[in-house]
Amino acid sequence: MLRKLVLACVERRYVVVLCLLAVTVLAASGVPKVRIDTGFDRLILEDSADRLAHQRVAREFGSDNRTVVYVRDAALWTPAKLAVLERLHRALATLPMVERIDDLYTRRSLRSVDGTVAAGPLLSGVPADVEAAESARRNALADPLALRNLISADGNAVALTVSLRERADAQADRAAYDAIEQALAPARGAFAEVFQVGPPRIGFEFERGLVHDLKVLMPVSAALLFLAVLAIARSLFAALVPLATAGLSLLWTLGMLGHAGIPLGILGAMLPPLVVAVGVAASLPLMKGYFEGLGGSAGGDRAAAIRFMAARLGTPAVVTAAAAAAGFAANAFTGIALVRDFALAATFAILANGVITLLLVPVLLAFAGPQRVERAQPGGGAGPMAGIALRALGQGRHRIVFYLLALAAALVAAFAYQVPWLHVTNDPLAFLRADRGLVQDASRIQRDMAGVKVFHITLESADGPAFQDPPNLQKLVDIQAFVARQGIFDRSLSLADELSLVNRELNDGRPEAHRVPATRKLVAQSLLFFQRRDLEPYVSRDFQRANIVVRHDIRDSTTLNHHVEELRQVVRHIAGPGITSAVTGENLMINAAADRLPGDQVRVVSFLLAAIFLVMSLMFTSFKGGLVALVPGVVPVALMFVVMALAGIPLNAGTAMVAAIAIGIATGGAIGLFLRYNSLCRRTSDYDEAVRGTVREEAGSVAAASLVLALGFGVLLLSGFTIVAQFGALAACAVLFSMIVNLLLTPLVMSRIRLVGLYEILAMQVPREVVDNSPLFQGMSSYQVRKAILISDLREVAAGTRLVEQGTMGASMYLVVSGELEVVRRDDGSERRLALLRPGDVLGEIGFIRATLRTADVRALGPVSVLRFDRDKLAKDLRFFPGIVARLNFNISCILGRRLADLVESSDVAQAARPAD
Amino acid sequence: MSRAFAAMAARALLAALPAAALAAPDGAGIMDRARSHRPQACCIYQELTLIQSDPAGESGVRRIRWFERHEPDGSSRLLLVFVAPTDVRGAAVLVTRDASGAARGEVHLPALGRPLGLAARTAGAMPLAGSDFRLADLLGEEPGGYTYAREADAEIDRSIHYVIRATPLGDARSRTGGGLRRHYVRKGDHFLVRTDFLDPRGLLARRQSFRDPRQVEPGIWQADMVLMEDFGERHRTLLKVERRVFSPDYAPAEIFSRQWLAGGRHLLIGGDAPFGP
Repeated sequence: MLRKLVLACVERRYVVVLCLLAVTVLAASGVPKVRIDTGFDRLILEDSADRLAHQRVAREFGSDNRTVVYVRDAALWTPAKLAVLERLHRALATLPMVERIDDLYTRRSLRSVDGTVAAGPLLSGVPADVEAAESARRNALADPLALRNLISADGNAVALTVSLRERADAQADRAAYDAIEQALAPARGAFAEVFQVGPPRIGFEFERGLVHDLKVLMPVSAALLFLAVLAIARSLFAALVPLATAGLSLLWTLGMLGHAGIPLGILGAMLPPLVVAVGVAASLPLMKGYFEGLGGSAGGDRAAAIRFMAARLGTPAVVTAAAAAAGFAANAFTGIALVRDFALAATFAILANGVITLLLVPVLLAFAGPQRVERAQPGGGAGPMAGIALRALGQGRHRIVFYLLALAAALVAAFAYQVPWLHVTNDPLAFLRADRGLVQDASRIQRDMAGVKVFHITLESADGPAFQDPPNLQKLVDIQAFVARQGIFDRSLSLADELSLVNRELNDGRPEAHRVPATRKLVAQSLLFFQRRDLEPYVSRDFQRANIVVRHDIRDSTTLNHHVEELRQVVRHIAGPGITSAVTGENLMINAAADRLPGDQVRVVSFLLAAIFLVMSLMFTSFKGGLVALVPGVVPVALMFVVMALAGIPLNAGTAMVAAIAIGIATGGAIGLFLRYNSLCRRTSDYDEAVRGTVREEAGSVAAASLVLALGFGVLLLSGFTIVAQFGALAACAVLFSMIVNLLLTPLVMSRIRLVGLYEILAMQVPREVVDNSPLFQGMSSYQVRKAILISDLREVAAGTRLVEQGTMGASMYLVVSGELEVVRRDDGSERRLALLRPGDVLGEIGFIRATLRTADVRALGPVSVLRFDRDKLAKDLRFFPGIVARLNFNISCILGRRLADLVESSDVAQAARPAD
Repeated sequence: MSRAFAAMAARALLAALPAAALAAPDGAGIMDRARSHRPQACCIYQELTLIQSDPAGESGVRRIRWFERHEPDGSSRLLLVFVAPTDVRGAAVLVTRDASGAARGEVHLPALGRPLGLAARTAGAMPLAGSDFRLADLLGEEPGGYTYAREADAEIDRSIHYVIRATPLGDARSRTGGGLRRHYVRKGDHFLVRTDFLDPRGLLARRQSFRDPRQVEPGIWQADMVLMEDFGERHRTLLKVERRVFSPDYAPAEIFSRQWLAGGRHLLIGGDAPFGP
């Protein structure tokens, strides 16, 4: 069918070009609609149950979409610098997207001074002189809630924490980033360091990184793969064709994204190298077929070469592309939008590339294909990889099978052992390289003050204003003490902190009074010193709900999730009956998605393996075949996980996709080998030779395609995103592992099986008389007959050819499938036709039992198809197809028995006819 | 003929008016007039309701009793006593201002059991019970603490208002917690209808509006509702006068003392007989 399609494309090449052009124009119209979305929402599970709780907390206690503006200067506490700082504060406060600012200008403190209490912000206006500035600095450092929260311990750095309103859309972060940068611009010259860290900057850095990656990765991957193909094929045309198909595929994919409204996330940077690599891998078999066809034709006949290519182009090409696409598509079932959208885009790209390659490459070859065979052909010949594989196969095959299977089992066990320790993260900062300015700035803020990331611990009482009661306030203190004991979070702040501080100051600053006020009335009266904004982050207006704000800078989801889960349990315990609790935060939801990654990974891989097992079992009509087909997929994945564990590569939104992709690619390659092996098995009774032949024929293609893919994935190491680079490295490793497995392990396990394709069975045309008349197929269904034919050695015999030659030794039995043959005995130069054989007839059955001298010629009267049976082959096949082979053997024994009976009968007749002595 | 006569008459009328009457009033003059149109009673007793709200709705209600007393020497005293909700009942703020204008404040928290002096520098900037009002907003502006400059008149609710820009002098800013402000004084009755508090860049930060003016004496008006809006925080506080009495009986001198407060006698205040048993 593919052959017909390719030939039809070549025949109607202008129509094909017009169709491709039309689709391309349609796709191009969607490209301007492609939007980049690097928002945090896309990292959160879409079905996250915490979303509502988080929204409620954010509405009540303020957004946790916070940006910290960090200002450091050795001479910060001078009127001139503080004047700039105040202007910065004002500029930030007036930004439309700013919900709230927490800094030294808004932090109101109550201080006990010489028997009086002074209330007011730590900084108000511009100090009149240096002395006033120094006094303000001392006050700020003396406020325990400002220290290492708003001001560094050395006093030279301050933080302006800007809470941003809920994001209206994906562009809101970018607008916020720009507006904050604009506000920071006048201050940059005044201070040694001024920068912002928060979701808007992370979003901006992601966007910038994505654009950078697209600019760098696309040309680099194109150039590298161009050179690689040029080196392999020694043909400029062969090197340019995949670039053309990849370019079109990419355009189609971007167009689809634009029209479907699927945004391009940070993983989108992987698309161009992926498409180019897949494009090259897909076009290599076609180019190989073309060059082989060209080599076989006289005078560089393009049309003949294309026909040859089309004939060679079979199911393997489609199956390989489909398996790779399935590998990517399997990732679309994750709950993380970022991964799902990339999986959809990549799947579309691979399928589009398959269609474009199938349609365009033959047309391009027809228009301008080379007419001269180069020295090397893409993936052609045995090549060094085939040599290595064949040597390995030649040395103690059975021992190696055992060792390799044992090694594979050990790797799977090692992977299973490593799973609990596998590092899992979904934290946005962990997606960036450690040397990036943003990552270092975030670390700087954490070192000097506290981490930029925030989450909330909220307690809600069932009745009344519970959080004016000292026992309930003490619960906040206890929870905060536990948070401090966990030793992983930077600091926590609550109403209890504020009240304890006021209580201390109301008691002349005595340290022992630094605790929650003792009575409910004292709590209520202490609260008179607060303005509402001071309490808004910590307690609801009705004092029924309290909130503890926790700051941290944990970038490892496993660690964070573990400690948050521990915290949840302790909070629940401390809260006690009548008070419900929740630990929420956007940052927590993002990291919580990481917890789903291993589960998703197991689900996706299991689903894929199950699908492969079922498809392969059906495809090769054998569960054993289905099981064997899993080996090439499982082993590279196990190896990949071991590499991850050893190299400390985390499981993240990028690396989580590799397993499914690796299974897809490895299985695709393996299916190609199975099909070739299957085809060779039908030509020989020596299955080991069929394996060697498979490796000899396919190793070059497998190696070339794998190296090209590995190179394409390897280019991703140049990405500015750790997540993309790690994906690239792992995917490249997995592809190389799958290549090794497919060249060494797959042939070995393959030699233990004999497969028959369902599609071959269904496609086979068997003459009715063969099924009805042949004694060999007595008692067998049409399906069994076809399968029996397919596991047999089918031979095509040209007219006039002698299938059996009189006087030679023969050990095979034949069944005529189509055509006619005559049995001719040659005696003294004369010929005598003994019989005419038609479809269904059997000949040479004696030879099947024992090698014997042929007593007559059997000659084809026209084109003839015969099935050859020999005892050794059927003995082998009995292991693989016991039902069918047993039936065949039974029928053969019937034929032989009948022949014996005939012989005995004819002998009796002869003896009876002899005159009695 | 008649037109020429009218012009001549107008010129004669203008020439007959005193120069002072024709000169446009300056900012300080207008503010003086505005102050002079406030109640001049020596003692004021008010029962107030303080209602706080934010975009999410009402966020708290407190009831306060207001005792204000002005002495002939120019000194004044203000006592605010919280009567509801129950947990803050009896909490009080006492502010005394001497003849020179220097203010001193104390806070009494019954639950603490002793008075707390407020640092003079920051007393005025202290918010009233967590509301958007600062003590300085309630005390009124110290005339000597500001310079006044008149700006172009503005129309508010179809009435023309004087607009006066007030700039703090010396440490008035730190004491009151405010900076530049702009007063809107209604022409005609010199009723101060609004004060806009500006941030250092001249942008509107808070707005105090005097509403429901009630004529308490001929030509003397007082607002029954004062609204303070904080635009930065998006909060509002409404101070509603439920009852007002101008009488020394309702603000006797002895109640403005530490002893009175420390003895808890202010807790006994209530109803029509504020100083009953």
